[in-house]
Order: sequence, then C-alpha cells, then structure tokens
Amino acid sequence: MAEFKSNAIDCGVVEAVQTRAFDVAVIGGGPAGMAAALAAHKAGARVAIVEREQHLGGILRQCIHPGFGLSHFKQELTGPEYAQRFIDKVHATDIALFLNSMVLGIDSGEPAEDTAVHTVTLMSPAGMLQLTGRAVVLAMGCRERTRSEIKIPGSRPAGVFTAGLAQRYINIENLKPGSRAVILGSGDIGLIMARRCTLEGISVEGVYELMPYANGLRRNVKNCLDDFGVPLHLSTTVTRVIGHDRLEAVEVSQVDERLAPIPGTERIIPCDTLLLSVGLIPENELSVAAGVELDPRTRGAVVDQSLQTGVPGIFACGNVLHVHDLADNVTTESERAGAAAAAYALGTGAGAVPDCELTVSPAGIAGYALPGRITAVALTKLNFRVRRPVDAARVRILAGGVELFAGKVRPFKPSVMESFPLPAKVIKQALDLGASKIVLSVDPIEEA
Amino acid sequence: MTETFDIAIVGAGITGCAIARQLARFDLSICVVEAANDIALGASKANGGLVHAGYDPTPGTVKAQVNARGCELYGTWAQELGFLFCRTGSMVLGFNDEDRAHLEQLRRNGYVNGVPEQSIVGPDRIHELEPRASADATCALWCPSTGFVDPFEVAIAALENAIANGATFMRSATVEAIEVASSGDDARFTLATPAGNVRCRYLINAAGNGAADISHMAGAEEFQMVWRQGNIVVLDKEPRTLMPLYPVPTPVSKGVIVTGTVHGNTVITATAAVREPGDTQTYASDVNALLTGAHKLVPDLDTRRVVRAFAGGRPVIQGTNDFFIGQSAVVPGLFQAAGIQSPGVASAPAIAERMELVMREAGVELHERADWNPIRREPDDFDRAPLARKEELIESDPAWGQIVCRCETVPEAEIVAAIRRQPGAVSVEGVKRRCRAGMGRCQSGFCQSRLVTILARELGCDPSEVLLEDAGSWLVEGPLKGVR
Amino acid sequence: MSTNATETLQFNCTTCPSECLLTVEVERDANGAVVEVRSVTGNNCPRGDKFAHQELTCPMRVLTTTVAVSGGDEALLPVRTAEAIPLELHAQAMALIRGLVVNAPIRMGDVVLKDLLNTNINLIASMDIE
Repeated sequence: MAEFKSNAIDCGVVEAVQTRAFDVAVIGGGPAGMAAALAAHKAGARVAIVEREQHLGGILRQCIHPGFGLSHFKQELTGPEYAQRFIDKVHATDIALFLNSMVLGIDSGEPAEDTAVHTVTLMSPAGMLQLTGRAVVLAMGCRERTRSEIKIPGSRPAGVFTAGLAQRYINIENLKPGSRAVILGSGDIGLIMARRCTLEGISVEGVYELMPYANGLRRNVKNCLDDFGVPLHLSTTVTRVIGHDRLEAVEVSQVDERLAPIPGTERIIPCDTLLLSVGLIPENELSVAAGVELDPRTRGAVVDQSLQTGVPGIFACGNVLHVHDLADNVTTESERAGAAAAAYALGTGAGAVPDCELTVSPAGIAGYALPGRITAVALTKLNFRVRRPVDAARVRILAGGVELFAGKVRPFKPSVMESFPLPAKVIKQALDLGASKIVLSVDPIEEA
Repeated sequence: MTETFDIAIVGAGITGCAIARQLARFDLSICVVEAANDIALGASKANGGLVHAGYDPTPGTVKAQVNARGCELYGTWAQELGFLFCRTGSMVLGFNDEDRAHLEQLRRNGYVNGVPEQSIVGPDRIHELEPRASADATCALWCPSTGFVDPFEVAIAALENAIANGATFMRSATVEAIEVASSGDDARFTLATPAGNVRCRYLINAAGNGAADISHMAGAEEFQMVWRQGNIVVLDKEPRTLMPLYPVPTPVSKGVIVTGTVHGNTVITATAAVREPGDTQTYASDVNALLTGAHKLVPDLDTRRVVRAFAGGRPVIQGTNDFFIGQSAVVPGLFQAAGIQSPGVASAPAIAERMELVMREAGVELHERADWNPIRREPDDFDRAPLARKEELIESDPAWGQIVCRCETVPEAEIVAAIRRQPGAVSVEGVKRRCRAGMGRCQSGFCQSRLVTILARELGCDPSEVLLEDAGSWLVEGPLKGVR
Repeated sequence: MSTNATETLQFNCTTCPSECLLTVEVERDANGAVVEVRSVTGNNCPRGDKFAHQELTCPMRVLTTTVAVSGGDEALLPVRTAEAIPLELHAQAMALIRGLVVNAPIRMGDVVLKDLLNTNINLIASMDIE
C-alpha cells in the first residue's frame, strides 16, 4: 500500500531530446578529461568533452600554487598555467565542447537502438541534449571528504569548510572565509592552504594531523609551514566543534597508536574557521548508475590494463579512478585512457578477444593495486600506494604462491602514488602456473 | 509597531505550521510568530521524519489518541499539500522469545490505539518485506501504515498553504513578554517581539522547547521542559530505499531505528539522553551507539557513507511523557500544544485537528471561508521531473539548465524559487531544506560559494551578510583583492 | 672578542622531487646572522649545496597569488612572480598586490606588474581571462 507522491506530469507529446553522435564522449574537462580527449582526437576519433563549469581546467583553476608540470613539461608551473596549456591545445582542435553542461546519466535515458553505443544525457542552459559514442571516458575527478564522514562531534556552526571550498572562496570568488583558522589534515591541500591563508591575512593557528607523520610532500611542509612559522601538530585531531552560529573554537586532542583520542589531552583552540583537508573520494555516482563496478579500496572503477571498466566501451582515468598526488601523472594516465577509448571506438585496437583473465590484488602494506584486471599478456603499468610510511620495503609479485618478481629495497610513503612496470613475461609465468590472480605485495624489511 | 490578529501561534515548527494550516480555512486572521529566522529550526529540524503508526504510546494517553490518527491523515495531507510521503510500512524486529512477548504487547497497544492491519510475522515474511533486515530476527511486528516524510517539507507546505489562505508569518520574532489584559477584551494578549508587537484574541502555544517559557510569560500553567537530546545520522543514497526497522522499544525511547527517507537516503535515529537545554552537539558516543544499533537491524549497512550527523532536543514536559493539548485552565483564550516530543511529526495533522476541536469546545467561533483552498502547488523539482518536463523547464528559463548543486541535481532556477516563495529561504540552510541544494554527499563543498552568490543577489545584500542559518552565522568576510 | 656560534641544521632541498635531506653547519654572529656556511652534506647533486647556501643567506620563493579583475568573466586573475623572489619580500608584495586591479581580457604570461619591489622580476598572469 505504498503511497508515493505522483510525479507524473502531463507533458503531451514528448519531443525527442536532441542527439549528437561522436566516437568518444569524455565526461569532465579537467586535466584528465582534456588529456584523454586530446589523445583520442590524435588517434582519429570524433571527440566531445562535457564540462559542468563554464571553462575547461577543472580544479586546477583554483590551484594557483606552483608544483605542476615538473615531469610533463620539465618546468615548474602553477595549476592555472598547467591547465591553460591543455586548454590551448584543445581549442586548437575540432573537439566539441559542451561547457556549463551537467551529465545526468549514462545510458539511463532512452535506450539506444545500437546497444554498442553509449548515450550520455546532459543538461545545460541551452536545454537537454544526448551525446552518443561507442566509447565514454569517465574523468569526473573527486570530491573532498567532509566533516560528517570523519565524524567530528560537536555543534554545526558556520565556518567549517573543506579546504577546497575555502580555496575556491579565496582564489576564485575573492571572498575571505574568516580571520583565524585551524587546519585539520597535513595532506598537500591542507599545507598549501596554510600558506594561502597566511599570505591573505588569515592567521593560521596550526595544522593538526591525526597520523604520526605529515601526509604531504616535504617541500610543502617546508615551503608552506616552516617558511611562515605555522606549527604542525602530529598525532592530534579535532575532537569537538564549538560555537552556535559561527565557529568559536575547536577542541583538539592527542591520539594513541590506534588513533583514538586520549582523554585528558584536550585543548581548546579559539578560531573562527576550520579547514578540513582529510582526504579525497573519487566521484563515481554516475559510474555506478551506469553499471560500472567499483573497487572498495580506491572507490574508483575496477579497470583492466587499458583503463577500461567492466562495462565495455566505458573507460576511466584521473582522480575518478584513483586519487593522484601529481597532475602530471593524471595526464599520463588519461592519455592512455583516451587512446584506448579511441581504439575501441574505431575498432583499431587489439583483438576483441582477451588473451587472459587475471585479477590483481594488493597485499602487505599496499593499500590498493591498479589495474584490478589484466586481459592481455603485455607490459602493464601497475599503480599502488602504501598504507603507512616505511624506511625499507620491497615490491613482490606473486602468483599461485610463487614469487615471480622482487624489487629493490627502498623507502615508501603513503603520499606518493607508486608506479611499477609489470613485464609481459611475468604475466606469462603467472598464466603458466595456472593462476587466476596476481598479488602485488609491498613487504617491509625488518631492521637487522 | 503593533499588528492585531484573531489568532497568534507561537512557534513555526511542524506543530505550529500544521495548526496554522488547519485554522486558515476559517474566517479568522492568523499570525505565526517564530523566534528563528526560518521555520522548523527547533525540534522539527532534528528529526528522523518517521510517521510512526501509533502502537507505541500507552493507550489512553493524548499521544495514543493523536498518533494513529495523524498517521492516517498523512495520506490526505500529502496529496493536498504536495509533499513527499512514503507509506512503506515498518517492522519492529524481535530476536528472542522475550522480544516476541514485547511485540505482542505492542500489537495489543496498537489495536487499542486504532493502528490498522498489524500482524506478527516470522523470518520468511520479514525477509520478503525487507531483504536487508537482520537474518537473526526471529519475529517482527509488521505494521503497514508506517511511513516517512521530510519534516521540513511538511512544515513548509503547511505554512505555505496557510499563507496562501491569508495567514501572516513573522520571523526573527522571539516573544520576550506577554501582556494579558482582562478577559472580554477583543485582543487580550499582547506579545512583545523584536520584530514588532502582536496583539491577538486567542494565543496558541506551539513553541516546542520554548513552550514552558511562553506559558510562564502568559501567567498560565507552570511546567519545566526537559531537553531529551537525540543524535541522528544520515547516510548516502541507496539504490533501494529501506523500510523503517525498529528494535523493541525501551521505556523512554523507541531505540535506534533505521529508515529510508523520501529522498532515498538512509537515516539512523535517534539516541536519547537528557542534556543541557539548547545542546545540539553531536557526541562520538551517541554516533557510535547509532551505528552499532543500526548494524543490529541491517548488518550490511555501509556506515562509512555518513552524509551528515546532527542533534536536537525533544520538547519533553518534566514529570509526564505525554503531549499537553488543550485550553489553559488558568488563562482562558490561551491554547497549549506543548510537550510535542516524539511522535510529534507523525501526530502533527491530528494535533492540528484536535486543536480545532478544543477551540470549538472552548467557544471559539470557526466559520469556514468560502475561498479556502486546501491545495498547495508544490515547487518544480528538476531532479524528479521526467526528461520532457526538464526540457520544458529549461525552455521556460535557461536558469533551469544551470546546475548549482551537482550531488542532488538542483539548478539555479529551483534555488531562486526557494528564495522567492512565501515564506522563502533567507539562508544557505534554508535553501537546502527547501530544494536540497547542498544536502548531498559533498555537503555543499562544491556549491556553497554559488549559493552565497545567489542568496546575496536575490536578497539584495552583500555576500558577507549571507547566513548559513540564523543570525550570527556569517559565512564569509568581505573581498580580499581590489581593496586598499 | 668573538661571540660567533656554530649550529647544525637539517632541512630538505626543494630543487627537485628527490627532496634530499641536507645537514648544514653554519656559523652565526652575535646577532644570529649567518657568517659562513661551513659544510653541506646529504645532497646527491651540486644543486643541493647551492640551495643550502641560498637558503641560509636569502631564501628565494616563487610567489603565487591573485589580482582583482575588472570587466572579466572571473573576479580574480591568478598571478605569479616570473622567477623566485626573496621570501622576506612576500608580505610586502602581498600588500602591494592587494590593491591592484587589472582589466580583462588578459593572456597567460602577460605582465601584470613590472619589476616587483625592485626585484627586477615581473608579476605575470597564470591564465587567460576573457
């Protein structure tokens, strides 16, 4: 006896939504989307980019600090400069741009006649539109974890911002979010914002970090905190938000080895602004609705070595796939996805029949391994990230209980996304052993 | 400045708004006086939105009389007022013989209280009704009339309808003093508020947690409010909306309940602890208790996906667990709707109905207006509109195609409408509660700065004057650049 | 009478992503000013040595910030110093930049302010604004 409010609206004759056909539809016009689109275009595909903002560039438009381009352009650029170079390249092509356009669904509208074609439904001030393409590249990026997700107790006043929102207020909107800030999280965004706030006259009372180590790059700790005398408090977290209307203070507490707050260590830090830099989450709501399977570890799609998801013709790259620390790596990865999407759409890729079907799993202190599936016996780039910093560890590749490869002993940090080339011969060895699973294990070496 | 009305209702929570709507059909002038700058900012806001069936209250109490009736009325109210109401039915899960005896008791209560079609069901039927219910549940009280609403949407729909029928709404009007003239005066009550004075012939106290203060100011019944605080957690949307699942209740509360929402989220509600009045903080211990309790009912619940945790106080009258609905025995002309704690949302339409009856019995003459319109046209909801309607909306105004909140797919035109309707949103949270902009998983991380821009433009103020919620909750200071 | 003191410092070189941890021995005078950098170790290349000397005499950083825009489709233009400038000038530079307004359109690389604070370094646009 469910009684739902009727949403049926008498529309009379339903006019078909206008449709435009492409080979590859790229969702997202940030660094990932632009690199994928350019690579697909270079491979001869008709390409469209759908971007919800009125400009290309994505989050790089507000990342005005330097540190970009060291590997891709061999020089240090700011985020906007890095983006502008790709924007200029895109504008020099006939890639179709749908700006100010929000994708509402993939394959969720009218079923296409040709089932091998994907339909992307989007809205914009110009109206509703559907794009079709044999291939779709997911490049929607990520969002920030919120206060609720990390369950900070207390009241809910104004003045609690994710670091990226504060960055937008300061760098895009020309609005000062407050005068006296506390920053939770020592990832690169938190560190960068400590410097931005200080330069813009917002005093930063301190950066607080749950873990016993700084999460960001050392250069950022030095250039963003040390340069300005901003203190970094490790193994300390915010345990209460105080203030009814506007934030008045936060309570911070030290945490034990299990990251639980230690009673009796509470301190009240007066402030009117709390910035949260507590992690990024790939934005995959569209992907899930399109039937794409996610990896619970990365919260991005499970992909194969060509970055194709479990849905044929749908590819993923950049921060929607897994969170990167360097835009340069996003570019490299996305160029691969774009090229693979074009090859798929144009039928110029390797044979449709896979060589093999292997899964890849992380072990030891590896937090994840990507790609999660290998379907070709070829040199495969594996990405992974460790869960905690270690001074000495090695990468090992195992299949069917046999060690097929062991890397050299070196330090690993969670802030760095690692890349490891898996030779074709190792994949072949795994198959010869009759294995269906390859394990990428990062194992700490005990100090002698 | 003093304005005079036949009736003043103090408090624009779900109770006050429902009463305003009920009385707006009569030929009387009504003013709803609210301390906050928007409606439903007290107990109605910190609420799980459940429309409980009515088996829980002890037979014979006021609660027992209005709960099942309120639940019944929601069908009509939802249709007339155009708010979302899902009558999914619910189950109280039992895990052992002791629980089963308790369920039998609840069923008997329900029978006496007028709850329709209840039955005790076994494991097979439990999993047919809600496949995600715990496999450890051996029995359940199945109650098909239970449902859920968005309490804010109900309150605003009711007040919009009252306003459309001539009622007046005064915001930011904390009642600071009440003067009561000798009886016989046509407008014997004078309420002093910072927004101006209000004179009225009849005064309705629907002030929620402030009800004891209002009663005291009017020289009526003396009672104390107890702040029975509850924490609530909202989880991200699920492909399938969960049916409300309850544990066997305790003497003070219904326990930790898991339920779907009208927007497809999952809510875990609520803890119960007596705390300092006004305390709306969440507590780590409460949130953990909610997540633990929820897992007992729905073991596969992904509690990583917390969208929001919040808290509020249920307005409980000390010494009684019941509602107080009736004319003051001390001050004639003052009508009390006090102690409206749980199940206040479920009972709201019936409390309004009962208030009408109480007033009639007290000799208040209520004549239906010829032009009374019970229908409220709900605002367009872009996300839920079919594709063709979406096209039509964008064609009517390109701002319907301008996305602002990406998580909940709310375009600019829908936000502007939320600000321009009466009573319109005056804050970022007010916009959120009306059209869901900023309610999603990113919690306005992406859209808050746009909402500030739109609110500043529509309200004709500077961005630094835009509020998150009520007075003092400023979001940004002035510009950083281009200033000397 | 010498009151100079020697001190050993540790910091990371930020010239390249390797971020070598440098150990530096310095001699300071009574006012704390660096008299001499006596030794630099821990660097894997000569740039580390140069970095340490620069860092102890006059640390240099690229300054990135924004400038108000008039007549554009954005309120702010991201800007940077074309090269690193002394870190100690950053606060002064920010005070100067706060009042600037540039007119759209602007192209990436356009000079927004010439010879910032007599450093001989220009403040340039980081992005196009229409």
